[in-house]
Amino acid sequence: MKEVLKIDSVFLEFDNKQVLRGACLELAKHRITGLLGRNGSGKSCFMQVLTGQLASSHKHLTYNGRFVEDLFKQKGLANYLPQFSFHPKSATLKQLLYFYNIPTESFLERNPFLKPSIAQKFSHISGGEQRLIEVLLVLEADTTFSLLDEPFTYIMPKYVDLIKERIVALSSQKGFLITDHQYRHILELSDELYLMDQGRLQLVQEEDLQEYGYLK
Amino acid sequence: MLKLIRASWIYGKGFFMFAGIISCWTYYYCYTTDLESVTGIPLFKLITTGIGLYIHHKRKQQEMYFYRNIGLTPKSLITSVLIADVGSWLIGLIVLMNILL
Repeated sequence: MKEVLKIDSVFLEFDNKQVLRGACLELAKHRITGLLGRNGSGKSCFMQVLTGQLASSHKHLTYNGRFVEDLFKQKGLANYLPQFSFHPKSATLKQLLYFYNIPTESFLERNPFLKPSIAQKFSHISGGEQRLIEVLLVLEADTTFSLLDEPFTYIMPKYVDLIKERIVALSSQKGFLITDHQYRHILELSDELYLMDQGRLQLVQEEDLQEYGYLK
Repeated sequence: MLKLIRASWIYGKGFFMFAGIISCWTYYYCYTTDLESVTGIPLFKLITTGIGLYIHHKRKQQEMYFYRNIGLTPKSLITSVLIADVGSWLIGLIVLMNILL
């Protein structure tokens, strides 16, 4: 059976300004869904509503047709990478791998350059490497869906390629929703592409992006 | 359960330091004052714990994404930190009372 996470009728407003006006989106396991939009168009707000961090005036979330109140209440359904650093600074990479149930050996086998950082506190690791670790942890964790908000930001090109490779490889096990301003990576990876426009999500093709004023 | 305990320790580290100082102060107060006048101490401990935990939780707001990713809710973290702090404080107080009486 196709595993589908569907969110529709998302309405959100701040100080009488409507940010989301009935946004709808469908995520499927084994599919990579890209989400693009201008600055301030509401992409991150949509992600936060989806993950329950932001209360919307209305939303309807279903997983395989069943109503889901909170994405995180259902164990293993989804995890989320926010735009900012969100791991405890006092934790080590080894501890974080334990919390995410990721075997240390296989993780280091895939990412040998992280061996020197394994016992270091998160606060002692450089900002770029912290971000890379956060992205990899969310990717590698055993969930049905991963929601990634700007996974390529602050990451050097070599590691961007590594992240893209892992996303493609892991798409055989899970579904992804990815948003990032480095749109070329999103275009390259996505099976489906949504554009946030005037508070609504439009399912678009690459060539529609100019028409919607997202690209020149 | 082990994961919750380990995660609560990481989450509550800064708060435990503050709560430990408050606990030590209450023990010192009980030790140096007549037992009749220490009735306000539990209330003092509860109020400072409440305020301390509220401020601590606000500071840790961004980390909640991590705890939710690993299947822990803010409620479960706060509850386990509260139980650890108030529980250890109560045990200490009972031991102290047994010494004093």
